[in-house]
Amino acid sequence: MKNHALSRRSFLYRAALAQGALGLRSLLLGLPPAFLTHRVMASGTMGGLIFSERQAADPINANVPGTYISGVRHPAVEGFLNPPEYRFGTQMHRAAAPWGGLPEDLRARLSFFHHQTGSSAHPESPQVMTLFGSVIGARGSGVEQLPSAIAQEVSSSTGSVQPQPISLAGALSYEGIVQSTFTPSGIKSLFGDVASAGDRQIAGVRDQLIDRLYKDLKVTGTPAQKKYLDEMSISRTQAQQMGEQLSTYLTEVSGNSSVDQVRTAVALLALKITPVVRIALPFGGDNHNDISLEREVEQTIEGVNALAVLWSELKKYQLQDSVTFASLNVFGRTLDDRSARRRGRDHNRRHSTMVWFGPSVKGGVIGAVNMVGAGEATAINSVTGLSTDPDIVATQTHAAAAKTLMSALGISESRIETRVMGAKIVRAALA
Amino acid sequence: MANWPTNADNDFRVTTSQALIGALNKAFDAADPTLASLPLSAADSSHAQPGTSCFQCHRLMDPMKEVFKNLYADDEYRYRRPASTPSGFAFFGVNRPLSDLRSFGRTLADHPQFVSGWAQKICSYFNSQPCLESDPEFIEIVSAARVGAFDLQAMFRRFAQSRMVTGHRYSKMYENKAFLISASRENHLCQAVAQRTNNLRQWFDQADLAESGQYCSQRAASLPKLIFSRDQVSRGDAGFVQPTSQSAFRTRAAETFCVGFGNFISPEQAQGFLPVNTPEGRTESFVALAESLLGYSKAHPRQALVIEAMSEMWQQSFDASSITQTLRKQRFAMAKVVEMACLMPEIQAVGF
Repeated sequence: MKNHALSRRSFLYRAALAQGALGLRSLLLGLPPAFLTHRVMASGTMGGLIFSERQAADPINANVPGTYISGVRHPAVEGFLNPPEYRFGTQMHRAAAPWGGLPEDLRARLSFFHHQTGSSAHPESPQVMTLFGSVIGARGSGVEQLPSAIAQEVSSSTGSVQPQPISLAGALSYEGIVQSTFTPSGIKSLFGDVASAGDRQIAGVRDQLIDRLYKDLKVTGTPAQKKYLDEMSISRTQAQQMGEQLSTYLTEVSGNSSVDQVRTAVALLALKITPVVRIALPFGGDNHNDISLEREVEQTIEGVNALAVLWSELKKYQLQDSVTFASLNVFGRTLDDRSARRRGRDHNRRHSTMVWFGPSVKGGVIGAVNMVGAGEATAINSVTGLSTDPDIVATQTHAAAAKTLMSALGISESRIETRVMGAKIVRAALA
Repeated sequence: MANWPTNADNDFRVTTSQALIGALNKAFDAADPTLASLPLSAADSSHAQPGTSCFQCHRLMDPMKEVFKNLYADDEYRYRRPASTPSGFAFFGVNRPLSDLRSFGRTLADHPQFVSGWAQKICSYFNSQPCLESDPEFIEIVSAARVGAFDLQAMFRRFAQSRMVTGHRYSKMYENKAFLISASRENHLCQAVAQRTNNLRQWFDQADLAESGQYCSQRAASLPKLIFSRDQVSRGDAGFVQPTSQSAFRTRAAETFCVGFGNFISPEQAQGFLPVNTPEGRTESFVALAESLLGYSKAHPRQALVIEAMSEMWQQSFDASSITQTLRKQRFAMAKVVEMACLMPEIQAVGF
C-alpha cells in the first residue's frame, strides 16, 4: 500500500516551493503574491517602507519647513540663511534650498512632522525606536521596534519573501532578536555573479545530501536543532529565489554611500524580498563642534540628493505610488544660536522632524516649532495638523508620528491601536 | 578611547561609560543606589539638573569622568598638562576617591561585579545570549573564580564544560529560556575553521597554518565576511550585539565562503594534502574530514552517514564536472566535499 504520509521535510519543501513559485510568478507579472492569491491588501502597502534612522542624531530637523521662524539659527550660506518659499503639497514654506530643489511631484507628497522623542542620549536609539516601550510586540506582549512592527503588519500584503526587515546600515532587532546588517556592497558582491548550469547542478546535489543527513534530526532532534534545520531550509530557498534577480538590480551600486543604500533598498523592495529596509542617511552628524555648520550644509545637500535619487529609482521601477520613505532619528538638534560659545548644535530631546513621503502622504508641515530654549515641537491638532487647539500633547507627538506613518502604510486603525499605545493619527497628514 | 571618541560636549562620559561596560559588563543605571562620590561641578550641573531622570546617572558618571579629563584633551586625546580636578568612583556599591587612571583600573579590578561581569561575557560568547546569573552553576563558577588571583582562562574552560553551555544535562538556565543554536558569526566561524583546518592538516602530518595563512585571511573569504556578523558592543549597552538568525543573505554568504574553503583545502590546480586519486586515499580523506572538521569520531553513530554522503558528493561532482584532466577533476570533486562539510551546521552554527 502506498505511503501517503507527508514527511516534515516534504512539507517544508513544498511550502517553500509553493511560495517560491508564487513569488516567481509575481516577480514576472510585477504583482505581489497577495494580489495573485486574491487576498485583500490595505491600500498603500504594496511596496513597503524605507526607514532611515541615525544614532548620531543628525540636524535634519534644523533647515526644514517650519523652522524658518525667529530665533532659529541657520547656516550663514546662500540657500540656507534666507531662502524663498517652496511648495510642499498645497502649502508654501520657507526651507533650505536643497529641499526646494526636489522634484515637484515629490514635494507634492513630502511632509515634515515636527515632534519630540524625549531622548537626548545616543545609546537610547533602540529604545526610541520602540517609542520607549509604546510599540507592543506582535503577540500582544513585550515591545517591538517600529520598523519591525511595521514589517510584521505589512509583510503579507507586500508578499515579501521574508517578513523580517533588512538593515543596510545601523542596528535593528526583530522580535527581540538582533538582526544582521548587510551592506550594499556586501549584498552586491554575493549576488553579482550568476552561477553556471553545472555549478547549480552540483549545488543541488550538495543541498540534497545535506538535507538527507539531517533528516533524522528533524524528527528526533532537540527543539533547537529542529528550529535551526527548518530555518536552514527556508533561508536556502529564499537565497535561491532572490539570487539571479538581485544581480540585475544592483549594477549601479559601487559602495555603501547614501546613494548606494537607497539603490539597494529600492532593489530589495522591488523584488519583494522584504517589506521594510532600514538605511541611515547623514544630514550633518553629531555636530556639536560644527561651529560654522559647514558639515551640516554639506551633508544636507548630500542627504537631500540621496532622496532625489531615491525618488528617481522608485519611478524607474514604478514604485513611486507604492513605497513610503520615513526618516525618524533618536533625537533632534538644538535650533538656537550657540556660535558665541563656539558650538554647533547639541542634543535636543524636544524637537525632531520626521521627514517622509509616500503615496498616502499629503505634502506639507505637521505641527510647529516653538523657540523656547533650544527649540521644541508643539502640541498638535490631529484633524488640522496645526498647533492650535491641540488634542495631541507635545510629549505624545512621537507616537502620533508613528501612528500616522502606519496609517499611511495602509495598516488598519484597529491594528495600529493594538500595536502602538497613546497618541492619535494625524489625519491632516494623509492624502 | 580610540573606539569611543568623545568631544567637548560629551566630555569623556562615553569613555567612562564604556570603561565600566568593558570591565564590569554593567552600564550606568538610574536605579543604582550608590551615594555619589562628589557633588557635581557647576559645568556638569548644567548638563543634568537635579530632579531630572538624567541626573541619576550623571551624579555618578560626571565625577568619574574627571579621571580621564585630568590627563587627556578631548580632541585627538593629546596628553595635556595634568590637571587635578577631584575625581571619584561611585558605582553599584563601591564608592572611593580616584587619584589617577591607575587607581581607576585598580578600583575596577577590585569591584565585586568584575568577576561576574567577565563570567557573563564568556557565557555570552559561548551561548550567543546571556546566562542566568541565579543559575547555581553560574554562581559556583563565579565564586570559585573569586578565590585567589583571577584566572580568565580557567573560567573560560569551566564554562566550556558547563551545562549552561553544553546543554547535556539539566540546567536551571533553560527552565524558562530556550537553548539557542546560533548562526555562526565571523569571530566564531573563522576561529572554528582555523582550528579544524589545523586538525585536518595534523591528520596528514602537515604543519599548522599561522593565522595569516588561514582561509579567513585570504582574499576569497573577504567577500562573504562582509555579510557575516561579528560579535560587537554597542554604545551604552552592557552585553554583546550578537545576531543569531539565519537569513537568505547569510546563507548565500556561507555558500560563497564554503566554495572558497573547498578550493583552499583541495585546490584544483595544485597539489593539496588530501589524498584524492585512489579510493583508499579518498576514504581516508572523508574520515579525516568527518573527524577533524565535523567532530565525528569513529565511535560516533553519525560518522558512517557523513562518510557515505561525502563519498556520494565526491562521485556526483566528479561525474558532473567538465574538467578533462583526471587528477584536477578528482581534486575538484574533493573540493566539493569540503564545501559540503563546511555548510553543515557543525561548522555554520554555534551550539549544534
